[in-house]
Amino acid sequence: MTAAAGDRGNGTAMEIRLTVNDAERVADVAPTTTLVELLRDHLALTGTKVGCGHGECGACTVILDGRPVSACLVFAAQCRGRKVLTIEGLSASGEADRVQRAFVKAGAVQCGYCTPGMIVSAYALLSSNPRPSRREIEEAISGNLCRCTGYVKIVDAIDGASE
Amino acid sequence: MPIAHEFEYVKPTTLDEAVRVLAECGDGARVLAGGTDLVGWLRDDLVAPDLLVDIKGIEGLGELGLEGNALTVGACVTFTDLIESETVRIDFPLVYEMARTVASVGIRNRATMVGNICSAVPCCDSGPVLLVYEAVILVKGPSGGRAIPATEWFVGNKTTALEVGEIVTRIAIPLPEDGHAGAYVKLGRYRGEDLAQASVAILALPRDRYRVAFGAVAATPVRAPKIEALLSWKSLGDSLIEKAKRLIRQETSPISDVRASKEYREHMLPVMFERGLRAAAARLAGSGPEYGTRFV
Amino acid sequence: MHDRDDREMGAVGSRLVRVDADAKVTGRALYVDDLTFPGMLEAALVLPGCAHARLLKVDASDALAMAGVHAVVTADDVPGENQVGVVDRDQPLLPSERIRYSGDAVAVVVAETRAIAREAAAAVRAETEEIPAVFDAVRAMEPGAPKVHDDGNVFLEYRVRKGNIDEGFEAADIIVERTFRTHHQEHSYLEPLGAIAVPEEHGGVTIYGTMQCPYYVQKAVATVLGLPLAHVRVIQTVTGGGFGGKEDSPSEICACAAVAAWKLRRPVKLIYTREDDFYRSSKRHPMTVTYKLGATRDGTFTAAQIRVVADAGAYSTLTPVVVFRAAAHATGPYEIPNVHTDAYGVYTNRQTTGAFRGFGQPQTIFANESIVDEVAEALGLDPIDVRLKNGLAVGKRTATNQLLTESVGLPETLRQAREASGWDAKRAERGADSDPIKRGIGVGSIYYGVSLGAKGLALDGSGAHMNVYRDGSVRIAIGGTEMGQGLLTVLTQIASDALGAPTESIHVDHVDTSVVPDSGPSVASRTTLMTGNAIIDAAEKLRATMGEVASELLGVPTGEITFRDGRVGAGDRSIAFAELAAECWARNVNTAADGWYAAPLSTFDEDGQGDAYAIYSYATHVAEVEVDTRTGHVRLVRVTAAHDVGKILNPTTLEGQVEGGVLQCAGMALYERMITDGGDILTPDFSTYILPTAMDVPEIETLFIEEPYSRGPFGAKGIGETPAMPGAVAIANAIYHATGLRFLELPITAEAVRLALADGRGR
Repeated sequence: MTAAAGDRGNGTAMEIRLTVNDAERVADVAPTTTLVELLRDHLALTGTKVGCGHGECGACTVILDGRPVSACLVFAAQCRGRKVLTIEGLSASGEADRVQRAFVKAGAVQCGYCTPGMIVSAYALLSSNPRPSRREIEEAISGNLCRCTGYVKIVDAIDGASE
Repeated sequence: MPIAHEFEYVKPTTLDEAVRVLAECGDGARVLAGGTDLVGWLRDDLVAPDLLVDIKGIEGLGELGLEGNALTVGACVTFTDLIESETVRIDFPLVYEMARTVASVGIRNRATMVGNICSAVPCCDSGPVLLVYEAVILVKGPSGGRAIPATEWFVGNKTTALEVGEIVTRIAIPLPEDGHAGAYVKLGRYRGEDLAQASVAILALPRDRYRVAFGAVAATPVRAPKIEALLSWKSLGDSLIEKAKRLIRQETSPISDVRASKEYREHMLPVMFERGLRAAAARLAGSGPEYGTRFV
Repeated sequence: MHDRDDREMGAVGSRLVRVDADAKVTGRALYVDDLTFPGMLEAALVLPGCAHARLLKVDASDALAMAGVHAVVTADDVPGENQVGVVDRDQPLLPSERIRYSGDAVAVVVAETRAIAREAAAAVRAETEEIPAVFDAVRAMEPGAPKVHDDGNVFLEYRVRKGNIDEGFEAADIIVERTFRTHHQEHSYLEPLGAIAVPEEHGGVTIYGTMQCPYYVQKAVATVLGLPLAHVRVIQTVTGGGFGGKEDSPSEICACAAVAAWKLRRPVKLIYTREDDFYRSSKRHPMTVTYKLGATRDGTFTAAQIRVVADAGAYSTLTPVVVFRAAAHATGPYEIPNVHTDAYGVYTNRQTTGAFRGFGQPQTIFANESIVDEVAEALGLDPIDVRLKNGLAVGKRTATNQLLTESVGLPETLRQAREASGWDAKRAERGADSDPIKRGIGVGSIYYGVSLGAKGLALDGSGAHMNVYRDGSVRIAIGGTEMGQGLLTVLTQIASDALGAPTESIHVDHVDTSVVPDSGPSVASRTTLMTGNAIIDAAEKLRATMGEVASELLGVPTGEITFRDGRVGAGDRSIAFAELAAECWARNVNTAADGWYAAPLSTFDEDGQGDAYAIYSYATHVAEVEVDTRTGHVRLVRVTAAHDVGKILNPTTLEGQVEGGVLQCAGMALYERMITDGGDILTPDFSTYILPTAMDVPEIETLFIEEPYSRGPFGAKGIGETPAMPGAVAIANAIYHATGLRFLELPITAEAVRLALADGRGR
């Protein structure tokens, strides 16, 4: 990965250390750098997507200290010393997580652009609520927009992964 | 889209340090907590600070719980914290009900109640609820601390009583003495997350006393004293509710924007008010819909 | 033609798991913004934001003085022709004299980083002089309206004349006439538009981008750079949704990146922000449709007169084809003896409009299916009965007088949707008047000419290149694009059955224009049909050459050899496909083949008569709603979606297409509203432009009818568009059934419902 889109000379660059997908990472970031830019541009973790840049679409959802957040609304500087889990981290062992497998099996993937954020939201839900109702699933992913699927198979997949 | 405007970032570890830094930088500084509003505004070049003061490293600002007879909501307490707190859910059910309507899970995990009232957009969900609880906003500045009643907090669209150099440390929400119930009714365009087109908070107190506030139908969230006066000390019946509904126009001044027309807002306020009022009264009587139910 | 009758189905028809799902669920799939190249720079566009203005000067001095800025590229830097019009040559890539809408870009700023590029773009000053603008297509047709282009605003007219409408209306017992309006709809694909242009050492350029139509991009880039097509290579990256929105607009963004890369001789990436995308990408055409329908007392339609005015925006882009489709289909899926349709494409100073699932039809469908319900009600007839009575069937003739000879599943979609939805009981049900929640059920039916039809003949061929390696693995290059719909998966299934090779051994690539000849656009529900047939063609060639080798090896006549389930031979004498591939390699037999499929000729004369499209797909949606009369909120409870698809290739991807379409219909009907003020878009993001979320999904039942098409791959017809077509009007008709409110405009927001009721309209 070369030139970082969000990286620049504005503000004083700072070195931050954090844990990403169970690995210690160090990066030089500007005050303006957001978490999604840190992940994509500095750490080459491009699985996390940007769909709107305003926290309205959920494509950039990652788990920060156990909770799903829109990575486009978090400054990288605020992640110093914290733990981040991204879509890549769910299959870090080389084997896909059960939520990922459920999405494949249920046909919940179409264009795939919402998929990483959607799966991360689902993973976070199931971590705190292993047997959610369909209503709870719908609420948990209501901040993750999908324009392809009509959400039916996505909810099916999360429901399937919860069993 | 990256943020084009340049600024510096500091993360003080004590409140004194934060206040000092804010004082030094004057109106070029902005406080950063959850950042869910601020980052978007920076991206859109709506604000241009020289310095962001991240208060998440300051001990004590994450405090959430009963202190004496009031709920302390520290500056770093998120909407998720509020939803997950047993104290909030049981003792301050209206706060719980309101928090459940804020944006989506991913935003609620970052967005703070204090940030919500500091942004002070007319549709901010916390506003009407803090008004009816008669909450107090505690701030600290170079010349010490002060307490600002919620009724004096909202000055205008995106403007508050906070002065340059001051920082909100917490909100104190007094626990009504002998029990209460409430309802938060929020109008959205669809079932998905939406900013309020209009909102109503009702607090029902024993012996037929009510507090009422509206959101998104004036430049700031507003309390409705005329309606409260009409309702108080009377048993709630259909004709009283009808009378109260007629007063709504005197208490609000909705405008048309991209989310709704003035006319629709005017139509909806009485409907929302009645639903909320009846639910709050029923809840106080021990029945009524579960908190977290959607009314529209 | 594909000897399907004598072969058992294998992969085709199965729920093969999407071949790209693993890459997408793990985050490995690489979209354009995930790619980077050595020395790559980032770009941003300068949009003055005027709706209509003379451009006097572009002053880039401040921007160029900023650290990290490499260039500010304007019209002067376009080495070839400054032109990106798809059909008409009316659209400069970077206007130099006149700005015609708020999405026009006058410069491309290139810098070290995206942040610098955007900051510098904001520092470029465009000196402009505003001129009068027009924002409404009907007004733009009036004499004296400001002219968007010097030749006038009405640039396109189609007519359909069948029978004699005077006689037809004379014969009618009832005539209903109404004017309907629809608004811009934004595609809102989750991946914004993006492109990377990489100058190549041989003097050409390679483009990477998110797109539906790589061959359009190739042509546009070659035009602006003044290069031969052979020097422009376009590689489609994994594409995050299209829905028609990535048909025309990618040509513009790719050409911008290309001109910048050409000037600097470095790779340049240009990614739109969501707001850029709202301003610059083509939308669904706003249309004003006046529909007059006559019928006899028994519900037989006698005549239809229709006038369609389509707002093309500032440039025509795809309007000529969109309005053609709207005109050809404007009556709806009915046999009407007397038809008189006029359809116009009109310039305004608004966002350009192009393809969006349904391609001009959902707007006219809103009109015709509303009117059909009104006629049914006026005659005291059931809406589905009226549709069945007049609906197209084999042996009937369309508005263009085309005789339908096969694969007409419309009646069956109506019957099955009626049955599965419990229509008859629910239609008769009337809730108590005192109940503030009103329930309603409504229907909409459509037909859709698959592929490009008579106005796209030159584009209507598609290719495939199939390469069998010595280990039996197969790699296939295609000219049609996967944008999320599941193309790579169904093509893998088609190839598997056509070649008798296991699906696991087959890999289908995204488009690279240097490998497969111009295959036209991936639009109009044509890609599975066209590319699928091209793959079958290639497979037939390979079966012939490889079959000869098998025949020699096995001592079986070639005529008896079959390719099935990974084995080749006859009866008990067979070898594995992989083994045969190795044997072919050892004998220097060519195991690669090109396939091609060209659509049959279609016609449309100046009176709009002819066989406009080779084949049609049909669908009926039944929508059930609950309307809260106190708030106006419409809850979409249930949708029954019945589709005649010819042949199901993969039930899972098919259901996914339909479910997504149903929700797009819900968005069009109830929520999605692009609000503008002059040239400004007041809803340029997802907090103001409302998309349905997981909480807004109705129960959806999908029903598939298989009326095979003799020329379709295994009998399949196109399915891409039809799911997004009948639903909006079915919802509008259900709202009418619930409330008595007949809406003439979309979307039907809660506010619209509540205020209409407050006006005393409805029941």
